[in-house]
Amino acid sequence: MTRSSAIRDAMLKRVTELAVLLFAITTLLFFLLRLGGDPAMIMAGDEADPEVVALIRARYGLDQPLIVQYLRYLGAMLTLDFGESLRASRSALGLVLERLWSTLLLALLALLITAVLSIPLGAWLGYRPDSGDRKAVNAVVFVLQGIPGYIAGLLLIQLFVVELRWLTSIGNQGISSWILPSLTLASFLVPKMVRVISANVSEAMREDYIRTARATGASGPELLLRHALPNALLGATALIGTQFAFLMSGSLITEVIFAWPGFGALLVASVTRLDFPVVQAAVFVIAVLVFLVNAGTDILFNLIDPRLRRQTT
Amino acid sequence: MADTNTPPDARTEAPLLEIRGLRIGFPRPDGPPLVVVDGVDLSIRQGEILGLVGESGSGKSMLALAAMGLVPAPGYVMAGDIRLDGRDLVTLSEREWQKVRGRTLGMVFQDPMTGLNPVRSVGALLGESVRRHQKVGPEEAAAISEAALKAVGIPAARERLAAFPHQLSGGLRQRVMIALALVNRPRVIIADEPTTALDATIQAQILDLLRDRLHEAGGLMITHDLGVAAEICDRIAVIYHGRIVETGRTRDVLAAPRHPYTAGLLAAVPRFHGRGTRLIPIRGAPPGPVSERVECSFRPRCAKAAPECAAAPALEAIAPGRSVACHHPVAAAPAREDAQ
Repeated sequence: MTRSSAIRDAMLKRVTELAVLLFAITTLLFFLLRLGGDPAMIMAGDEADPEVVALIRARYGLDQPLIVQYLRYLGAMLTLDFGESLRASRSALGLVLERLWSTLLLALLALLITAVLSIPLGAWLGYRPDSGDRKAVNAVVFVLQGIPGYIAGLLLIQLFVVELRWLTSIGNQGISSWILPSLTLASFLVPKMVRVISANVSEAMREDYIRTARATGASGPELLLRHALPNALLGATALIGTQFAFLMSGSLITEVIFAWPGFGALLVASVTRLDFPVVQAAVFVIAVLVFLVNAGTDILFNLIDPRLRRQTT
Repeated sequence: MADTNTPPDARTEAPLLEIRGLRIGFPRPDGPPLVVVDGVDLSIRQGEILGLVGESGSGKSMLALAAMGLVPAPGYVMAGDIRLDGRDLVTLSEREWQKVRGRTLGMVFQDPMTGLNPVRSVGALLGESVRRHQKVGPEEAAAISEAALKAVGIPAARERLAAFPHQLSGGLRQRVMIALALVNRPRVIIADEPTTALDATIQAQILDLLRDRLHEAGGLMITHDLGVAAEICDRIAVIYHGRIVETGRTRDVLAAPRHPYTAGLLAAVPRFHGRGTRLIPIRGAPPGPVSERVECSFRPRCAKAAPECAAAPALEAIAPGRSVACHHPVAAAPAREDAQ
């Protein structure tokens, strides 16, 4: 099998997986949402005229049998048409994508902060896990892992906004308003990542190949940076993939705390208002995104682990 | 201490690597440290391969690691010295050791499957060691690495520089390990069970290679296998329970072992000619590490044990270049005739 046809097969398999996944998720979602209540009643208000309610139903196709609605919905979805928001009279997908960028911004910043903090700290801790000062830091990391994100967020606001007045905490108003929400998100991830990296590093330091490197005269820093850390980071890459989904959904609390005009806030508002099109579009976009990130992590894996690379010789 | 394990023809030449009175211990919370290597003397001259033969747990690997300054914590060198070209290594700082390891001393480890970093290419591993010890640029380092791969008989050496360990067979990986040990042309190469993890056919090839390469420098060959030692070593030192019990030229030791333990090891080795002769295992098991020894460590397993054996015997010269540590050495006549 040639290399290019192998890649084509792998991609075809991936795309099929994505299609099956999306079909399952959207179908499940469609029926789950309809269990929640009648959006026409909510839109029209409690004391609305039955005729108005009927008009609304007709306008959004809610008067059709469920199975007809479902088939229409499936058909529309093939063209990425999720319909209009029941609230904003705008394309649901447009509304979702508009919010998506600000949430992605936070997620990516949080990942960056996590990498910058946890790789050096994890490497340092794992290099000699038994020394006294590292044991103390380990204990601190362990405690930090138990602090919920919203507590961390509130503490950060108290310190940097209320006491020091260095930063703003409301909405998206440029870089100074990005720092605290992304730090809050990172506070979920950093302790977890530090522990994984330090465990991987200390395991790698006991491997035979470290002794081999020592026997060629490698110094401590060389052993750590050139031999143990590359192996340790392989395990951490897998974690980033799984944590990304968590970041997308975990951003909800953070967005509420910081009044961040993001995706999570939109999703929650839409669920409570039974704004089906927006919820459907949002879940669709999340599913695609998580899928893409996982596929990206796999590619990253292949790049940094030579054992997974196809033999070219 | 008398220079007991030096053949007469080499007395005038100073040894490359000389180990004297080496003791290695592991501390215990309750009591004196456990001694795993107890007063060992060894010397290796230029162009000579010394075989250190013993069972697992005999202290032979610990001795090899000590010669590299790599005794695993909390173990430590309690006494003795290790001289390389007359320079004492035991007192070196870690930084000084790093200049010796891979430069004047090279080491080949047992398992090539786990001993090479899976995410580093062969060229990266070799080049890193070359540039650490020699002032050369990346291109020259690659050329030196390639030459080292050729010297260990790896075909298409230039292409192999880009290979990762998982792309190579076990035999090739062990050749890479050997290349890694000799890439900077060390004075002494230590090989710790370098063929144990390999298939029998590959073993023979690797032994041939080691015989050639180790003879160019000085070699210390650690093995549990008398057959392996017989193949490539000029002299043999048999280690039991942390002490050398017998040394001598390989053919002398194999032809007429004087220590009952050596004789036992030989009787347990299968031979091609001895059809129908039974292999005789040594009864019992070697003792665990102790803090202080009183009796001869082999006494509980020895057929010739006598009341005097309650006191541990010293290693004493019995012939030029030949020593044994036993109160009742086996008779000088061959212990076992090979079947005709």
